[in-house]
Amino acid sequence: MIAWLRRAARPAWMLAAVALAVAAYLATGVFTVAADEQAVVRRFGRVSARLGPGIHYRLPWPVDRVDVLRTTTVMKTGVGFALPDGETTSVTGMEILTGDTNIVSVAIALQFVIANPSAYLVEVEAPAALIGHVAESVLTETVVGMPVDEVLTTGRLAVQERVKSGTQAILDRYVSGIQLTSASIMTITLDSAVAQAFQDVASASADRENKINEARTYANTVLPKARGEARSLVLAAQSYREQRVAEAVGNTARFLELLTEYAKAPEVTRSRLYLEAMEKILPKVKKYVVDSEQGRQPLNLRLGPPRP
Amino acid sequence: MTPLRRTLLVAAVAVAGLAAWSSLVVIDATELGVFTRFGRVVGVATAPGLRVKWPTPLERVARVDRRLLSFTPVPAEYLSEDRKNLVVHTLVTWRTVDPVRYLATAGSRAMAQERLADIVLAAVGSVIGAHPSSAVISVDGRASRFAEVMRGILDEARPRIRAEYGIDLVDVRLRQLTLPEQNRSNVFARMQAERGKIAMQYRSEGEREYRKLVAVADHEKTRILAEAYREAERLKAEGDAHAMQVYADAFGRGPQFYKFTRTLSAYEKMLAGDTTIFLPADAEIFKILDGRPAGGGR
Repeated sequence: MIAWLRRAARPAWMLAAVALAVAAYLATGVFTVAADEQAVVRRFGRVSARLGPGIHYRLPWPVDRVDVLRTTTVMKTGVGFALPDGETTSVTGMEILTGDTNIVSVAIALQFVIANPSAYLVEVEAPAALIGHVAESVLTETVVGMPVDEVLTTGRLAVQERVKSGTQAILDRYVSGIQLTSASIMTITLDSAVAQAFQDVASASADRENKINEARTYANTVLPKARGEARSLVLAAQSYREQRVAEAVGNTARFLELLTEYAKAPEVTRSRLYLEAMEKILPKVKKYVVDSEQGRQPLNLRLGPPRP
Repeated sequence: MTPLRRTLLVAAVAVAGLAAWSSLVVIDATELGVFTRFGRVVGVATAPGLRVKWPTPLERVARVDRRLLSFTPVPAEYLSEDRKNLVVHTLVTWRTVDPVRYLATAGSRAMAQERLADIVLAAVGSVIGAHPSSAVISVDGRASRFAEVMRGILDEARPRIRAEYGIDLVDVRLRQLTLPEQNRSNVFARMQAERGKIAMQYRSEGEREYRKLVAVADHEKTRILAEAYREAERLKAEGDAHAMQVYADAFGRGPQFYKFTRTLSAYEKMLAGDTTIFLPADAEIFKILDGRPAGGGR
């Protein structure tokens, strides 16, 4: 009885050990997916499930394989410079030829997210590394068809836009599972040999604007002044006109009154006016009264030297 | 059970287990599998999943990456049709489509990329040599000609590579286009000269525009003043004319009387303090003295 028990107990103990080992093996299939992650499960190499955040179970190795990817985190890469985590390295940019055979250096920062995790894992080798190269090629393609002035000034946004859309189109064609969220030009620099010359163009452009503004200011001061002068000239002329008319009316009014008097009594008025005038004139002047008829030869009674 | 028989049994089980294990193959979604029996290809797995094969020594599986792969060949210098040196950096993307052919000819990725690089660089050279540099570098050409050149590179190399290596050349992209080191200083000198010209043009434009604006303003000023002068003169003349009209109207009513009064007032002005006059004794003013009546005409 005891021997039988001992013989039965040994397999039971072994069974427990085996059961524990199996349980431990099966327990390796438990995994969690964080809120910003997605998991892709491959069963015997075939993509079988895409799982969102939470705690999940998969069959253990070698049946299922699981890859957990951060899908909401925006990742960065760069064109024309390495973008390490520190992100503080000086940006020099990638040298590109412009359409008019100028050499500029451009650095572009690209941001992307994993839009399709299974494609990201399965379709392309090292997709994140490929982005930079593809963007480089799109940048080259874009800038080589543009004059340098456009690249440096108005074309900046267009370059960004074309790098983004062009790179995205190629990545889509490659089924990379990547979605670019932005492409932004960090710097466009010029070789030190020509930077000064470009600077001078900028200041020449500013000079031109200044000169034009100066001229506008001149016009803006001269013209109102001239208008003011013109206005006062016209006003003065207007008042002259009115004055002349008023004078005429005034002068003639007196005459007309006298004329009325004269019409009533011509002789009297005439004499009165004549005498009044003489009264006014004669006291002021030197006068000699000579006899008439024979008096043509006046007697000069004046003493002393003649007046000059 | 004798110990020997027991050992043999364990060994047999182990061998059977290993054989069973090695007869199961997982082909991943990123791979293609080529099954060979004693070196002879007996099957190709193009889809992922679990496969069964003969145990290992009899049948083997070779795995080939089926993902899109990329590499950047070394930059190479080419001469365009118009004899301009260009340094071209390329990006090559490819994938294996015929793993059997691929394994037979290229064998490994490193080897495959070496071959691809040779072919691509030669193709880029022949395409660039057939185009003037303006087909690639131009201000107005935009991407159309550029894309054409790129397609030319791809079209030339693609079928050959497919047939020869079982590789699909997905894309050849011009990653970077630069000039040889010895040409750079020329380019910089030219850029500098161009900028100098533009700066000068801006400045003279500014000067010209300034003169123009100032001249226009001055002209406008003169015009305004002239117009005002004209208007002022017109107003003055109008005033004079109106005044004259008033005088003529008034004096016209009594021309004789006007002559008389006007003469008197003229005398008043003419005969100022330092004037000496000789009055005849029979002047009208004295007529009363004479006893003659005054005011009887002149």
